[in-house]
Amino acid sequence: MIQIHHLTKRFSTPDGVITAVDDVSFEVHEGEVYGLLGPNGAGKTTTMRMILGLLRADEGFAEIDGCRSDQQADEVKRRVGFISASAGIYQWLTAREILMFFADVYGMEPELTGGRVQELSTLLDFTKLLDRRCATLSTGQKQRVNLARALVHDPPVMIMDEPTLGLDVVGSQVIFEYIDLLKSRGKSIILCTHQLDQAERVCDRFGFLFQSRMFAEGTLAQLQNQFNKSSLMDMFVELIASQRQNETTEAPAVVQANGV
Amino acid sequence: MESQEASNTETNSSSQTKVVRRASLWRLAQKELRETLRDRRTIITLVAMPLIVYPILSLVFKTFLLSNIGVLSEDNLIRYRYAIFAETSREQVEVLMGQLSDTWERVNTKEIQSEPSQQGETSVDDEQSTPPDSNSESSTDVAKRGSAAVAPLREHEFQIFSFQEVDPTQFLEKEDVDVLIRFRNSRIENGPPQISAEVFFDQEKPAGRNGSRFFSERLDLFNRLVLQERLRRANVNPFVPYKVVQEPLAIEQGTGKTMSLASIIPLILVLMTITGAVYPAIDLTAGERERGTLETLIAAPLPRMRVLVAKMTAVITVAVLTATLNVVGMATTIWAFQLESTLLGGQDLTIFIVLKIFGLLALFATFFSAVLLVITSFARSFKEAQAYLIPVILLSLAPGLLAMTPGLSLDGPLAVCPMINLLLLSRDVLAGNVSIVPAALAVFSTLVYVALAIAAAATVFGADSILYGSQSSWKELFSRPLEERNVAPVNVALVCLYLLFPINFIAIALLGRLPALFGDGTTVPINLYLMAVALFTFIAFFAFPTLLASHQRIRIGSGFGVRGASLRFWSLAVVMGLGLWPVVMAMINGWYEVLTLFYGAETTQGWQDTLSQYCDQQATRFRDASPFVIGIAMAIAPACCEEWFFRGLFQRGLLSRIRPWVAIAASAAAFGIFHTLSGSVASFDRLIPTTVMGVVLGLLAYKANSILPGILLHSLHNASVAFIAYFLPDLNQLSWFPQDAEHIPVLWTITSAIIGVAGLLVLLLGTRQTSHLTSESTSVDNAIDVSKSADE
Repeated sequence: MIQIHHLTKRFSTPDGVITAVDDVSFEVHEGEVYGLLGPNGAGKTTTMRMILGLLRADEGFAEIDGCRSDQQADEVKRRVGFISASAGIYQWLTAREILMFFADVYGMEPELTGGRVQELSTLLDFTKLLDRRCATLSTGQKQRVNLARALVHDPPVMIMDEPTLGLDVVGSQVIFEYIDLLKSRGKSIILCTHQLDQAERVCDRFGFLFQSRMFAEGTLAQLQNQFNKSSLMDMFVELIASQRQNETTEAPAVVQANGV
Repeated sequence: MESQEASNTETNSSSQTKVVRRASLWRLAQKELRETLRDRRTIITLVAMPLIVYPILSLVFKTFLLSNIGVLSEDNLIRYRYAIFAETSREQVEVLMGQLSDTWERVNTKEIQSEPSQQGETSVDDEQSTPPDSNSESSTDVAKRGSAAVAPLREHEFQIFSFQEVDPTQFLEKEDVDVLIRFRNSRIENGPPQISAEVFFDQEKPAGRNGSRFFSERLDLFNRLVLQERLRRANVNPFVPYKVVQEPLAIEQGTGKTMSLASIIPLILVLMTITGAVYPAIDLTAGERERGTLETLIAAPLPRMRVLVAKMTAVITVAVLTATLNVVGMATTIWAFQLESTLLGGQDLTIFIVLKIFGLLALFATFFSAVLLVITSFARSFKEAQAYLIPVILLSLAPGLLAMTPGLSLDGPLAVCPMINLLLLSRDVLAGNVSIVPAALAVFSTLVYVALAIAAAATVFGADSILYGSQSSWKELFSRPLEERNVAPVNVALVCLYLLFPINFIAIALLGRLPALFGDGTTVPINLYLMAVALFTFIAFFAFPTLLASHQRIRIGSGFGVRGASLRFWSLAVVMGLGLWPVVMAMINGWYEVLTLFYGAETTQGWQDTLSQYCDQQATRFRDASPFVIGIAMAIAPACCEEWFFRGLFQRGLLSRIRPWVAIAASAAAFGIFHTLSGSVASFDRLIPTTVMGVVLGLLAYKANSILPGILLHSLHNASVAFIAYFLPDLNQLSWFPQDAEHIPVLWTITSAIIGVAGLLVLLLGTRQTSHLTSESTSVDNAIDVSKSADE
């Protein structure tokens, strides 16, 4: 369903060109949840933005359902639901207005939209909030509305960039339960999260991005063998420790892109 | 089976696409409108402003009016305030004022003029009884002219005091009066007693001047009538040799010949629409980015153009709403305060005028919404957008003020000049004298600009760099980088260009001041003057960019394109450098031909004659200089320095980020614009030829990957033009040289054009020089090529 071929992205900064994503390739199959993990600045968000065609790759390309995001951006966007931690919400519109608007934008039949909005609000438990302006919602409620916004057109692919950022335990739980449900409905999902315990539970395969490159990839069992560690958390800690060691002993091989 | 499903999906998706296209624009606009109209901040500019601003403004205006015209009472008649010191009694003064008032009113009413025999005082000689200043503030005349009328003298304010020697200046300063009159008893030698009326007033105050004139005219008439009566009684014909007949006319304002308060209204419309459009334009572009909703919108399958059109619809709606409320507020205030005659030149505030204003508002709102959206689309935050817009708003007042200049009319290039055409159109529409063709041209061209602006905004809005680019601070812009760079980053190139504008202006101003240094003014030694020109060119276009490049650690060789070039480029430079001047001259003449189409042969010929006179004067003056100095100042210095900046730092900087033809066009446009600012006034006839030369030089520099052949071409071209003018008297002796140098033979022009076209073709079709590169320049080419391929 999702194929990523040698994606590379460079940014010009006052201190020269930095490589934010360096030759990253992976695949996500139908009904599979792929955990894209890595420390801050590893290039996860940049990779996701390139997959969706929001950023132009300097090299390589991403394909979703046979459509290349650099050539058929609109076709790719139509097939993807995108939710990111940095995504804001229209403060002055109600949740219903936002959902109806995006349903229209994604080309849903108007007669189906009302039912879909009701279904999503029931599933994500915000039916009572549907007609409240979003400025009055809590962080968790906003994030649920945002998730419903990404799902309103029932896309076959979901790209989720830290969807639980800023949410409490219960709020996160709702999101992960819904990811389980999406998986069971055959959606392909790329999930980027720092909640490694939950990731272990819902993801089928993982890709570890480290210093802009794909450092390791595989199922949990494969990674356990490779790292000789039992949990993702331990692997992650080791990765960070090695990064710190690298920084103190020698100049890093690849300059990190912070915040891009 | 699978393929069938796939085709079904295709059909579904295409039918979905159609649904999106049908429903979206309205829904998109609806969403934008909801978002902006529910925002408290919109409501403040939309409703709160007009509710408060106009009543306050009208109060201020009234106060201003009072200080200028005296007292404006409830009946809307002006009354001046007089302080009178008299040796006679109070009652006598009042009687006198009554007499003065009545006499004037009688003489100036039609009844009296048509039935003169019934009037004792005026029956002496009807013709002579007409007051000398019949255009003075008589109530009927004034009403005809459309300004506030003045009440009869007897109704004015009088403070009557018994005679005393007061200091008039101190009195007028302290007391609340417009005019001080002192009636002093005197006696003419061997004659009857006489009362002299000394009239004091503050000549800086209109109320003082008018009040003094108002009284003096009446007293004067009274005196003359008394004199006439005495002459009549003595059987002497009171005939005077001259008679003045003044005819005050009510001339329609807004014909473009005079400036009136009504011509300010278009400017007010501009401010009102900008006020309405600014906030939604920022909020729906930079605001979306700041709140993080822009990414969500861009992640949806929506054409950017559609998004922008929806946003523009919302901005126009809010702008029109704001402006409408402003118009309603203004109209109500004008009506309530009875300011029609003062503000609208006597026109009544009819529904038709309000409709006209509304139509103009829609046009202004469309124009400004598009322009503001382009600018705010560049911004990454609310603050950044505000910073961009403030100068734009201030700059938009400049054409507004220009359009108020008396004598400007909506025709020729002004009909398509953005913003000015709208202001002139508004002025004409309000004055009721619109010519259809220029008006249609103004509206059409404005709509074209709107379309272009929205297309431009659509390319910028949601672009990678705006969506995810960091918000660079000033510190970053001016901080010194750690590593050396091969070419100037675009922002450095643009900052350098921007700073060169004031530097260039100061240089021109300093050259203008040079004569003052030589005492008597005009006799600056010409060699010195030319060397000063060369020095300023050097400082502006060579020294300043070099310093900036050095601070920014930009390598000189690669950053400015100083490197070897192959023989073909040098040969081209020689041929084009020597052969292009006739076609350049033809372009200048061609520009005047274009102007002739708009302004007629006579006017254009006048301009051309002025220019050629100026050029002749300059040439005559320059002939006193040494040819060596001419060569340096007119050819070598400008060629080296201008190529150094325009084709060097600037164009190479742009080439690293944008497509070659865009970079070449941008550097050529900048080159052309700078050359129009060569004197104290803009000389637009140089714009086209210099821009075309900029394209030639830019292409040469790009293909040769070096500025050196361009320097040769530029030097030879400038030298050709300068030395032909310099040696013109000698050249005129030659049999083959055209005697009238302004009219170059057609054959020469054609040959020159062929050289130009052939040269351009050779450049366009030839490959770009990338051989025998140094390691340093290889990397700059890579940088340029990498970004280019990324763009393509």
